[in-house]
Amino acid sequence: MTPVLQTQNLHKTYSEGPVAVHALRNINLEIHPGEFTVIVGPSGSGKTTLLNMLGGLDTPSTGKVWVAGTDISELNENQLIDFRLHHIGFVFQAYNLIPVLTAEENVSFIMDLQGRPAAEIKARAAEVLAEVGLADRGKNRPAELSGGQQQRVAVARALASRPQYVLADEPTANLDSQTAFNLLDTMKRLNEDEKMTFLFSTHDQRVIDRATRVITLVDGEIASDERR
Amino acid sequence: MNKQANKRTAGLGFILRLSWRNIWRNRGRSLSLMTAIFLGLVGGTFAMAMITGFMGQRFYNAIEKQYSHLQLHSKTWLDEGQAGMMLPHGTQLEDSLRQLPAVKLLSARSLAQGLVASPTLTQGAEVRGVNPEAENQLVALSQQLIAGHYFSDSAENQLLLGAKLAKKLKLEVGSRLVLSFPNAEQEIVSAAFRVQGLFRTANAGFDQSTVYVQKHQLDALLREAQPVYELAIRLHELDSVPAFTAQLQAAYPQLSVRSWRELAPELAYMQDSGSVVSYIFVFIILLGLSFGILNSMLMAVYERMREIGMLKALGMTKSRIFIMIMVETLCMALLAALAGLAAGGVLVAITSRTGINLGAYADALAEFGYDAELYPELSASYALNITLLVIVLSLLAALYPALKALKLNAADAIRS
Ligand SMILES: Nc1ncnc2c1ncn2[C@@H]1O[C@H](COP(=O)(O)OP(=O)(O)OP(=O)(O)O)[C@@H](O)[C@H]1O
Ligand SMILES: [Mg+2]
Repeated sequence: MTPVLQTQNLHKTYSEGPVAVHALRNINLEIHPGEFTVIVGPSGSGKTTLLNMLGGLDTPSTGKVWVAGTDISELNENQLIDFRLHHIGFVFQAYNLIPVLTAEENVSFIMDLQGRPAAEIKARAAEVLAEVGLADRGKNRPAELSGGQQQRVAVARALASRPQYVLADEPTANLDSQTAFNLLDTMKRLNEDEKMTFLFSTHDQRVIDRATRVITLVDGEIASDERR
Repeated sequence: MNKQANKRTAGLGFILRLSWRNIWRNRGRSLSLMTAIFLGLVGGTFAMAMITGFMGQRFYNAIEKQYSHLQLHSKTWLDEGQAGMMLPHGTQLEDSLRQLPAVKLLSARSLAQGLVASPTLTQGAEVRGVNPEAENQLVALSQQLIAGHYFSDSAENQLLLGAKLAKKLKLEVGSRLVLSFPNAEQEIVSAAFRVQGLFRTANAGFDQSTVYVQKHQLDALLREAQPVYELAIRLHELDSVPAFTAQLQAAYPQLSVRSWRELAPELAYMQDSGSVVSYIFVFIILLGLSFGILNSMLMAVYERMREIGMLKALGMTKSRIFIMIMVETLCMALLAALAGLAAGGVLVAITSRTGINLGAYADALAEFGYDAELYPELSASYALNITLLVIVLSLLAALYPALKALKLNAADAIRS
């Protein structure tokens, strides 16, 4: 099977400060369709940095990142923005939603920006909101939703446009354990039902328990990579 | 469908909706900015209309009540101003000009530089001998009387006296006075006149130094047969004045032919530069408001750093972020500005019908050629010009905040 995501000798060095920080060293990895992968590691080990490289939010110092056959490390800023819009889904730890838009509008706007037909957008938004269990909250604004519900709207948005994969940097970090469970169950189900590839970073053991693959980073290097 | 065009306009509806909602996000801040723009434009519009009204009135007064469109004199009269320096063949000239289709009204005058003596005081004055009917048609002289009556009896020595001059000489309607001036033989002649009426024009200097008498009486005193010292002409069209003046000057090179532009250069200057001055006034108001817009939008961008970073991370292009900020600014500024223009316009419409009474300042205003009643007015292009100005200035003001928003690094903005 061809990987959706592949890196080759990925290095990231931050050299703005007094000493150069080697945030990532020699990362070689392949992610296959349908995987539910978790990236773990101590604070400062490079999880966020790696996800930013894989999501085209930042460019590697050296090395390559291929997404479905495209080397995104070669793209310029505008090309990267366009690439993210069409190929990658994101769930952040916080500030995912636009407060002045309803849940439905928050889920739809990626598809709006992609220029999809209005009828298709409406149907798909309703579908994914139902899949995350918020079918009846489409007209609510984020402030009228709980933290867990907000994250589920973010997950719905990330999936709605059917990207190559969804990246999530500590999506449960701000949630209590019961809410975190629900969110994970939802994502796991979507991983199975929609065959969506997920890639997380986390400190959360419960996330790790549900993963099909666990990659451990230490000091910017892959210390272990186990499939289960 | 054209795929390229589709891609470019994709999400525009979403961006417009987001911009609009963002305006109402910090309601207090947006409303206070919009109120400032609204009030600025109500005030600016009204002030502009007052200035335009003042200028229009001054122009009207000067042309319709004083200078007319053009005047003819002999060159020597303008240089020396002595008796006998009249227009050669004046009455023939008058008749032939009256035949011209462009000419609407015409008044032939006799002039003399002399003295006005009351029982106690003497003042220098210009004596203007006019045909009562022609003069009244041309400059509405009878309407400028504030006391007494217009010429009524061609046999009696009636005189109209400038109100200011009357005050100086301590004369009133019915008083007798003596005019003396040199005649064509350079002999001083004197005659007694009775004050029939007092006039006040919008020109205080004129009121202080002018008396009107009936032309045939002045002519008799000058011992001249129907002399014409001054021909004042009103054309049918103000716009045809420059060409007509040039033609006449070419036809009579030995005469002085002057249009209102030369008779009242300050009026011409005002006419040419007046609207520029009042636009500068509104421009300064708008410039001040632009800084308010800049400040407000900068705050909005700083408040939404993470959100804008998130939008960029999710795939919103720089140009769309730019458009989002621009549209937000433009909607807010235009909405407030159009409301301000409309309210200012209503205010102008009402006061232009009722007039604004500046009675308390009437004397001071008269010194500068203004009436006590002001009718504000606006030019047809005003609203359009101001709207364009608001668009340009608010886009300029939004430029810096929008560029700030563009520069955001998505990865940094979302790092918690
Ligand atoms: N913009 C930056 N400039 C300089 N150094 C940076 C920058 N971003 C990250 N780093 C450094 O790179 C290293 C990896 O950081 P990163 O945020 O990827 O770690 P992390 O594993 O996500 O940690 P955490 O679990 O705390 O989120 C750290 O040493 C960090 O200080
Ligand atoms: Mg991190």
